[in-house]
Amino acid sequence: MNEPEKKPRSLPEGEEPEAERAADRTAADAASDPDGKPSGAEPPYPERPPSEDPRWVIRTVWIWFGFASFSVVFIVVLLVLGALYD
Amino acid sequence: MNGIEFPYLGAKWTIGAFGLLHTSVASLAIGVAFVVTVAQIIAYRSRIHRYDQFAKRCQFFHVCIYNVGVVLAIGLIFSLSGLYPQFWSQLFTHFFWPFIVEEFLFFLLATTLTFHYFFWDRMWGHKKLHITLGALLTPMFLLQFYIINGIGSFMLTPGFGESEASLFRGILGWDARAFYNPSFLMLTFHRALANVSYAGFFLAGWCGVQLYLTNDRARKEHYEDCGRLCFYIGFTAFLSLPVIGYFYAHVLMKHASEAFWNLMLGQGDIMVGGVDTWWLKQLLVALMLGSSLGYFRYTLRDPAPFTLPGIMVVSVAVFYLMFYVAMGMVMTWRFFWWMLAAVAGGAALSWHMLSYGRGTARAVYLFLGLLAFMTVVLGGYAREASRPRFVQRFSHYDSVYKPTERQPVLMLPITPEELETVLAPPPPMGPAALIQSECARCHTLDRVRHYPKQDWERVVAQMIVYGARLTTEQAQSVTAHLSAGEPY
Repeated sequence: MNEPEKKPRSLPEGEEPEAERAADRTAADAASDPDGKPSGAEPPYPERPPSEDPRWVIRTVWIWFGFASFSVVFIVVLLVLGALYD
Repeated sequence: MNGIEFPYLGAKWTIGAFGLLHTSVASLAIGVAFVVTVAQIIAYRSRIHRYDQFAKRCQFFHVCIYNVGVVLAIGLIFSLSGLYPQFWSQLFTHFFWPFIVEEFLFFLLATTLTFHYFFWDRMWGHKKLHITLGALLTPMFLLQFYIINGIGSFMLTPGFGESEASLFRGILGWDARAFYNPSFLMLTFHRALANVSYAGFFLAGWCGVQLYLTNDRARKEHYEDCGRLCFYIGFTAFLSLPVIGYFYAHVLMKHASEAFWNLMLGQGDIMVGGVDTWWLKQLLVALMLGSSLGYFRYTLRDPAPFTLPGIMVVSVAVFYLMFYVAMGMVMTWRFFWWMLAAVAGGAALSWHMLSYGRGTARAVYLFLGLLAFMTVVLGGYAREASRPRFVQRFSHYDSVYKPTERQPVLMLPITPEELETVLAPPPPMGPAALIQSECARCHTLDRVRHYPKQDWERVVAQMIVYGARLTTEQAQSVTAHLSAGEPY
């Protein structure tokens, strides 16, 4: 699998350079167990600029979302037509 | 030809075991998808991360059970193909296109679920898109339900007089009148909401287990909140069930009387004091209602996230009871008092568990999760067991489909002109033959043997109310025959 592309961006003031580590890890994840269990301290809700998300993931999800939505509508239309025209 | 025998279990229970296991796992799908979306939206709007973490854990659980559910569904289909080959091939030919669409929906669901879970941490910058992708799962599961319910309800209420399309034009993979049969709509509503309720209570039960396992204060608070959220989702869906169930029962009474009376009377026959799986399930549901009311009575004293106004809970519960009592339609006073006792007992138990746990609802969540699981299994069993049997596993093509309502005209190679002959009324019969034909139309003759001799006049009159087709003279002769203890 290809590594996600990392686009250069201007860091907000005060942000640690470590925040640019692997795109699928966030500060909130570091505060929780690897399996997603909540830890003792309440982690902050993760906020991340959209540009940091791997582009191939977002592209895949958009394509899939379009295909799946179209398929659902298509099946509903088939069921309606099937009810009208046996 | 006897067909394949499955060791120990036998053909019927092999199908039953696969069916019940599949139901208990797959029934969680709609509700878990819904809970995940609700928790994600709450997290996004409130910016409280723990709800999102909870949603992620739920979705992980969902990925696991989805696989188990699919494996069990495949086992069910393989078993049906080998153990009931004629029935299955006939059903598959009848509903070929719905089955193909169902298969396609499996593909859509598996892929969407996979993307939603495994891209969770890669989409923090596109959280709205991620939530919307997850939200797509609920309508897709509903659509999958919609299709399988068309086929499942057909096996219960094929609809006498509505089979002309199949009868005269042949079956070519799609039969709208069979698919959109009388009980289709009510079954779909009932199963969809029952599944949301089951998943809500189940996940609350899981939170209860987590509460037992942790001593960390923040985690405890987290699971108390998430358990409450799931409990509220489960309870809200739970309240709608008797109302839908009431109308569902009416449809069954009209269009599948045999199944209806099998369901209502069961093998134990409530009229002579017996309790069958259906009534056991009703007692468990009454226990659930009582426990929930006890929980609300205790917890509404302290405001917490997601709490409902007490007056709303109580008024809806009274409304619920009203429909519940009406739903059975063969409710006896004795059983009614048992149900009220179960409600009161559940409320007292719930109150005790909350007091004992000093306010933590972990025991109540776990208790209700177990009850929800048992009611789903018992309800599924009672519904399927009520269905008239496929009497012969290998039989003539025309005799595979039961229920009997459809049997006389289903797929017979006859013309409309010949229909009158096929449906000609039977010749006059004596009391023994009438008992065999009329009583056994809805239940076994074993049940007839359980009634006390002195009650026959009352029982026969009651059975006529229930639908036994006897004239006054026939009823008198049958009563005399049974009271005299004559053989039949």
